[in-house]
Amino acid sequence: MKRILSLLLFLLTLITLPASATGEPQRTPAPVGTITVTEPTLTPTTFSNIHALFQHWERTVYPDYVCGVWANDSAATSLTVGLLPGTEGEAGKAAILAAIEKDASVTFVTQAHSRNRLLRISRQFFTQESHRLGVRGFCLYQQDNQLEILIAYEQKDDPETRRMIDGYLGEYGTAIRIAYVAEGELADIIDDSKTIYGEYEYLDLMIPEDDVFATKSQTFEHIGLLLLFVTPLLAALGLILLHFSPLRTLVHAHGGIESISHPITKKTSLKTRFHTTAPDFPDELDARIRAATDRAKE
Amino acid sequence: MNDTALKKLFARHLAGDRGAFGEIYEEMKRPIYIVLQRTVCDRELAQDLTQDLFVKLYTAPPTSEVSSPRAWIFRMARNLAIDALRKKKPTPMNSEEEDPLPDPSDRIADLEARLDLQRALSHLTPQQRTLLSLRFDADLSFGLIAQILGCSYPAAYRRYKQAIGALKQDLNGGNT
Repeated sequence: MKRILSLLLFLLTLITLPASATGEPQRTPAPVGTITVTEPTLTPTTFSNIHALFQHWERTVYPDYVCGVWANDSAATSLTVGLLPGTEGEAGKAAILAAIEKDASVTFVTQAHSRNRLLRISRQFFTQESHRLGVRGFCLYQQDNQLEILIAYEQKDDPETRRMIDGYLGEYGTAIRIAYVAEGELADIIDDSKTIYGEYEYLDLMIPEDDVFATKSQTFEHIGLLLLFVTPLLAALGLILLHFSPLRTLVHAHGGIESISHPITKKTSLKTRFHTTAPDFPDELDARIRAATDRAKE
Repeated sequence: MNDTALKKLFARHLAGDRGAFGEIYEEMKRPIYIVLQRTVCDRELAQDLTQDLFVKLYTAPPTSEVSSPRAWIFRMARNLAIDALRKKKPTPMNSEEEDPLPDPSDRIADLEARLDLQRALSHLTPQQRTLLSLRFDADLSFGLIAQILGCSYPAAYRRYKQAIGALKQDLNGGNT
C-alpha cells in the first residue's frame, strides 16, 4: 500500500511539474538531451560492499558512467558493473572502488551505453503517437546493454510503424532492439520476465486501453495552476515514502504506464543458469573442423 | 556481430571469399555447438553435427542470398539434429550419462546447476530444448526463433511458454 501510494504521489508530482512551471499542459516528452540526471554523492559515504552501493543507487540514482549491474554467478555472490569506456568509465571505477570497503565481490566490464541514457531513451516511447503506432513497452537488458522495444505484433507490417521503427533504429543504433509481441501475451511476458531475466531486469508496459493520456491532458487545463502550490508538498511526501520503501519505484513523466520493479534477491535467473552451464567449444572440435575445411579447399 | 554485418559476410562467402567463411565460423561456432548439444543431449553427436554443418556451409553454401543468415544457419543445425535423432531412435537419451567428467576447476554449485538443468532439459522434447537454447543460449528474439522453427511468432511463443512451464516444473522438483 505504501509503495502504491508513493508511486501515485510521485507520478502525480512528475506529471504536474511541467505544467506548473509553465502553466501549459505538456503532452509530449522532453527531448532526450534535456533531462538532467544528478550524480549521486559517493563520498564521504562508504559502503560495506558493491551490493550496498548498488542498493544505494537503486534508492537514489545511478551515476551516468554506469551502464548496468548484474549478478556474476548463480548465487549472486558478486556483481558485475558495466562502465562507459575511456576516462569517464575509469574515473567511475575509481569512484566505486573508493566508496566500497570490500571490492572482492565486484568485477567491471566496459559497455557502450549509460544506463541513464537508455532510460532517457525509453521515455521517448511513452507518447500517444508511439502507442498508436504499436509501442507497448520496453525491457532494459543490462547485461546486453540494450533497450528492447516491445511492438504490437499485430502492427508489424503497418507502413507507419515500420517507418517509426526504422527511425528509432537509425537514431539510437545499438542502444535499442525491437521485439514483436502479441497483445494478449504482454501479461505473460511480465510474468516470465522475473523467471527469465532474474531480478536485475525490469520491464515497463503501457496499458493499452488506459485513458490516462486523455484524462491527464484535460486535467491540466483546469488544475495546473492549483497544483503549482501542491507539487512541493506531494514531492516531499513521495520522497519520504520512497525512502522507506524496500523497492525501487520507476516513475515516468507520462501516464498510462504500469511499473514493475523487483527487489534484489539471490534468486537465480533461468538465463543465468543457461549461461553458466553452457558447454565450452572443444579445442579438438575446432581442430577437426579446420582440418575438414582445409581438406575441402584442396 | 549484428545481423547486418553477418549478412554482408554471408554475401562475401557466397561470392567465394574464403576469408569470410572464417569470420562466420568464429561468430557462429559456439552458439551452434551449444544449441546442438542441448538439443541432442549427446556431446559426441553434437560435435559431429557441428562439424557436418560447417563443412556443408563451406562446401555447399546456399545458391542464392538468404534474408537472415543467422536464422538460416540455426535452421540448418536444427534440421541436422532432428535427422540425427530420428536415426538414433530408439536409444533413450540420458544427459547425465553423456555428461563429461567434472572439471576440477568447476565450482560445485555450478556443477550442480549444470546437472540439474541437463536433467530437466533431457525430459523435454528435442524441439523444446532447441527452442529454449535458441532463446537463452543464443539470445535470439522470438521473431528469429519463429523463422528458425518455421512457424508464426505467436506459435513460437506458445511453444516457448509450454517448454518453459515444463522446465520450471521439473527444476522445482515436479518431475524427478
